[in-house]
Amino acid sequence: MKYLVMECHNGYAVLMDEESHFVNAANLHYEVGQTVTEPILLDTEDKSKTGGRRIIMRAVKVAATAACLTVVTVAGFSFFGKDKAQPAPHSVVFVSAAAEIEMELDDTGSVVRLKSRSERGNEIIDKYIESHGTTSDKTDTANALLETQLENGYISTGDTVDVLVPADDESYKEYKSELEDKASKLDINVNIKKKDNSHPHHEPPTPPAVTDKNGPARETATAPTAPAPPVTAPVTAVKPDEKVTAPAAEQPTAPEVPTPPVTPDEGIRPTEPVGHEQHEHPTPPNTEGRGIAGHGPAALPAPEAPVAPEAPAAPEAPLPHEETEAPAEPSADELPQDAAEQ
Amino acid sequence: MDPDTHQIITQVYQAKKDNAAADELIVAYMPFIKAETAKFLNRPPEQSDDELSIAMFAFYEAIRTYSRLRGAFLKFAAMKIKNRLIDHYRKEKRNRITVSLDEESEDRPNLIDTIKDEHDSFGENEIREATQQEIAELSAQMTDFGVSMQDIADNSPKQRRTLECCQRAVYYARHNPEILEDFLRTKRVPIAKLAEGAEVERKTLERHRRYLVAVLLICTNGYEILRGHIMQVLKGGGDV
Repeated sequence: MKYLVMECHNGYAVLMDEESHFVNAANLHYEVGQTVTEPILLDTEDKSKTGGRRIIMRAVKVAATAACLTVVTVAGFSFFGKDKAQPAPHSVVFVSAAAEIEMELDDTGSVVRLKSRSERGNEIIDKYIESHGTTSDKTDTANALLETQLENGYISTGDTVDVLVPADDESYKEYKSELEDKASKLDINVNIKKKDNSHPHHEPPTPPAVTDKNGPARETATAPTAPAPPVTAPVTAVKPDEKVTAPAAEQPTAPEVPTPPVTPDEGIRPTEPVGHEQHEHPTPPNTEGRGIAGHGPAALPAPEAPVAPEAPAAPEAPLPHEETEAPAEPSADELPQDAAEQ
Repeated sequence: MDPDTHQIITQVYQAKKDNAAADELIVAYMPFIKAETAKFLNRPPEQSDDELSIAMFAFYEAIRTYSRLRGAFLKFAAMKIKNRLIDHYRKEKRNRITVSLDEESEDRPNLIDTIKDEHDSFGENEIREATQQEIAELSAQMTDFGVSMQDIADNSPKQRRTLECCQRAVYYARHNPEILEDFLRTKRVPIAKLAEGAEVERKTLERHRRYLVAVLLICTNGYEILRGHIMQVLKGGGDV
């Protein structure tokens, strides 16, 4: 816009624009009659009023921002944290009539939520809320739910409905009697049953069904019994000179030494010591070392190897050897001397 | 209160009402204005510097907007000067990329010398002199009506709606010469006739009586250049 300089002063000039608007502007060496385009206009607005307006506008902006944040937070919380916000129910009562409706109770027995997995059930819940509102009393709620279904034609008089009450609920009997009293007014047959799973949300995971008796769990349970044989076998076979050295004193009978450490009644040959690897895998039935363990607790039935004993007998293995040979033989300290003399 | 402080506040309040007193106050405080400008420029300002003109304008603005509640006047004026100079610096910063036509360079002539001069300097000077003469006549005639240019600037409508009302009244007067004749003869603005003929609020016209005096005078004979400047308004304006 073009401005015509109308009057000049020391500090300012009076200009007239093309809309016949007279304004004060900075006198940048203007002359009267000159046409200028971009003057520096006087700011004559009352700053006190403007400042007040600015403060109000700022407050309004802050309030609007806070309101928006609140709305977003509440919406986000209700959308994303819906499941987290609602506490897990203490127990659930199933009202199974036209549709199965779950009535979730808290630890005090008050109704905290109604839900159904079927559309019909949700319709019933909506109609119940419309007609009866909401109440926290479980008996009233169950009764009102049945009444709603009766009024809306989902069920008719004389029908039988099931109400599954958690079996571990302490007030089961009391609740049953209350519900029966109130339901009797509705002229329908209410069949109140105990429900085994009172905590559907806290069910422990069911273990996988065991199909094989020789399952891994049981094998590991019997595994500690297995290492016994390696102890017995090497002791008898490799160290005959400790307590079993008695035969060593008797030089002619030395070859017979390996036989005593093994339980004679099991008939295990000492010449076949059970290796360590075999004890780590006790399942093979053909292992002769299992016969040693047969004295232990019969943790695993072994139908294919009835003679297979269990490993705990292993520590006992040297005992018969000692018992059988120790009385007949001199002390272990004397034996080397005798042997040296010989 | 310090007597000097009291005196300057009295002068400022006097300058608010009287433009001559404002001019005197500006001249009296020129050293202060130059000192504040020098603080910004980091050098003593020259008379030809735009910054000094802006600082003087800021001082005048401080006179117009000062209130006792704002504290000491000189601090307030210093703040105004500084803010105005900062605004000017920022505005000019945007135009620094633009090459000046008058910029001299060793390897090339001035740009302004390479552009064909289509302006008629002689004609422009004549028009400016004629404009100055019209403005002088208008100022003299306005004095007869008891108004000054500064009064008109202060009384000029600020809002678009008010400006349109006044323009509608002027448009009506221009097409009814008898109203302008009565205006020149009686030296009074015929508010009632204008309000009735232009169908605008009488109170609105009364509030801007001095402004209407200037515009109605321009509409009378003898102010061809000024009428040409505001021809858009006299034709009825875009919205009228």
